[in-house]
Amino acid sequence: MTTIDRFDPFERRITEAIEEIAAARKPAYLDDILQLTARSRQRPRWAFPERWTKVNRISLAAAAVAIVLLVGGGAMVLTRFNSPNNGGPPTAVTSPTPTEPAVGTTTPPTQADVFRIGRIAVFAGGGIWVLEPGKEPVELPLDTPPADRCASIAPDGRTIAFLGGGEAAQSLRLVDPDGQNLRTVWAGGFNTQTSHQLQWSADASTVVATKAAGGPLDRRVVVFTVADAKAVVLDWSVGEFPGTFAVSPDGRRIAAIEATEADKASIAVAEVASDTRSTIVAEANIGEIAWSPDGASIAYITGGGAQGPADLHLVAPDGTGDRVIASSGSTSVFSRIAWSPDGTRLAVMESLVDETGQTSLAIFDAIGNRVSTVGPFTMRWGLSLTWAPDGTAILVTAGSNSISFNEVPVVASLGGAHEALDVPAGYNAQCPLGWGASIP
Amino acid sequence: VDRRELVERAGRGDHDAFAMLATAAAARLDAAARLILRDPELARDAVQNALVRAWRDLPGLRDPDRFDAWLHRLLVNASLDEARRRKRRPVEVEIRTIHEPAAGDAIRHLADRDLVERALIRLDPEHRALVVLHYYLGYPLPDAATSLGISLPAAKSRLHRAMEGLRRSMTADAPGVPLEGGRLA
Repeated sequence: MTTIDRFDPFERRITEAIEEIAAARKPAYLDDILQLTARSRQRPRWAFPERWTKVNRISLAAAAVAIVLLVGGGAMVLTRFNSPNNGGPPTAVTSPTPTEPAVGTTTPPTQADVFRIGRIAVFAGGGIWVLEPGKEPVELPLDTPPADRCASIAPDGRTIAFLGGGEAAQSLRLVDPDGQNLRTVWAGGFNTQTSHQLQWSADASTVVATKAAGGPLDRRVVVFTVADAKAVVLDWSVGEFPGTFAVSPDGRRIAAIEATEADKASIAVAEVASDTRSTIVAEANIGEIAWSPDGASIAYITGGGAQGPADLHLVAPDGTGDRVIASSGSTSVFSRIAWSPDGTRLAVMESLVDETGQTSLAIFDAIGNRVSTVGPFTMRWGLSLTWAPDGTAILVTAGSNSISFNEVPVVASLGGAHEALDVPAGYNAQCPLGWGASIP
Repeated sequence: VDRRELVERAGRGDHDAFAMLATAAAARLDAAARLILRDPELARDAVQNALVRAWRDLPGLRDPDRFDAWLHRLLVNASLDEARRRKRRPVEVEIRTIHEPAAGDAIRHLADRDLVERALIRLDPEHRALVVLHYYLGYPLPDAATSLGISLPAAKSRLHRAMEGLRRSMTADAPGVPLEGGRLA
């Protein structure tokens, strides 16, 4: 089953070694087990009510509770009508918090609509392609192929960052979307055997690359500031996965999830200029983080699954004001998180904890009210969420199997509809896709 | 024979169909259990428990196409149950002497495999179970998380720590030989 496109040689090595260590062969004891099962009786079908009702046990339990409450409520109403105090003052009634999805348009964005919104750079067929309004996809003419399946366009749409330079010495490179002005901005040398992540600051002033430098554990965070053409290197072992680090909108600070003990992690914020770090959230089951466009908050996700409902938190970059603004139900978990460009909404991927794994996008406002739900999608493992520059749609990337990121991305309109993005053949990206503004 | 049909037949009580399914899956189940438990006897118990439960509960499987995932989930849970029981009694775990790297790809390859095996032993069963689900059985992290009853963020965090642990162990065990991408240089 391990026909997985593993881009990281270390992971590939582990996979190959495990295959050899396990040495799968039919066990001699199988016949004994089959004799045992042949003597055992199966549970009758009626013992699995969720099978014929097409709902899961939790839903059944909820339905049972609802029925009990309805019967009980009906009995109370009847009792009140029959009560001698029936003519008393009415009881105050409070409205529930609006948590249901808002109803919106269901018109899907066309490809033209999508590309009118802005530029998207993708890795496909070994090169970097730019998708632009009213144009055919264009592959950038690079002197050497990109070293990894990652290309990130700046939010202003003017620059694409990628790692290149060949096998000998990977370097951080920038290029204009028309293929001009190719330059190497950091050539300090990355480990050619490991994966990396790229992220631009919201103001497009800074691009951050995280990648192993020497050995696999020796990760570096390279922060390149476009205006002064200066790179700063932080020796910080973070940022291996999308969503585990976040760049402040002005590019001057970086927040990252640091592993601590089993199933626990902390969030630390580093000042790039001074390379000083402080822990702002300690010892929690932290999944992902995202820095708000106004710089005032960091959103993060904790819990989910066996740890109970997942929580969506906001905390100030100095660690103050930590609060939960929304929770998943007991039947779903949150993952992936992205702020809208105007900072008024948060998109969170929400997956059911059942055998369907059905995934949707939950859109919250900045105080945690659910304003809409988009989906569900056919994809089961969302890799990243990227808002359109104008905030009208969200680009969802996914891996079809494990860490092979070749499932075609989906563009989801906030009205609820979604469609596949028309990407060039051989699309495969390990990093979140950027969505930059269009340049007339 | 169509696999989906086999699952449906087994779900209706056809033990021959179940035997065919179990035979096709047994090697992988046994290997996965051995990887998680590092003990062939415990692995046998785990496979037995998983298959017995699979046979018993198969009528409740709603989607026949999910049979493999469901069976692997039963196996991993049975393995972790065995691991918890094992804590109450000592188990001898064979840790073989690492091969010294020498000239020749074959010997280097063996030494590399030994490094991985020794590093795997040092992970706890929960981490090994996630590594096995993800890297051996090939499940995406959300599915692996569901199988283990943990959230996706927790699974991602756990996998990250497992890989860090493997890298650290392999770096520490490699006798004076630097690792490049996890492989003996």
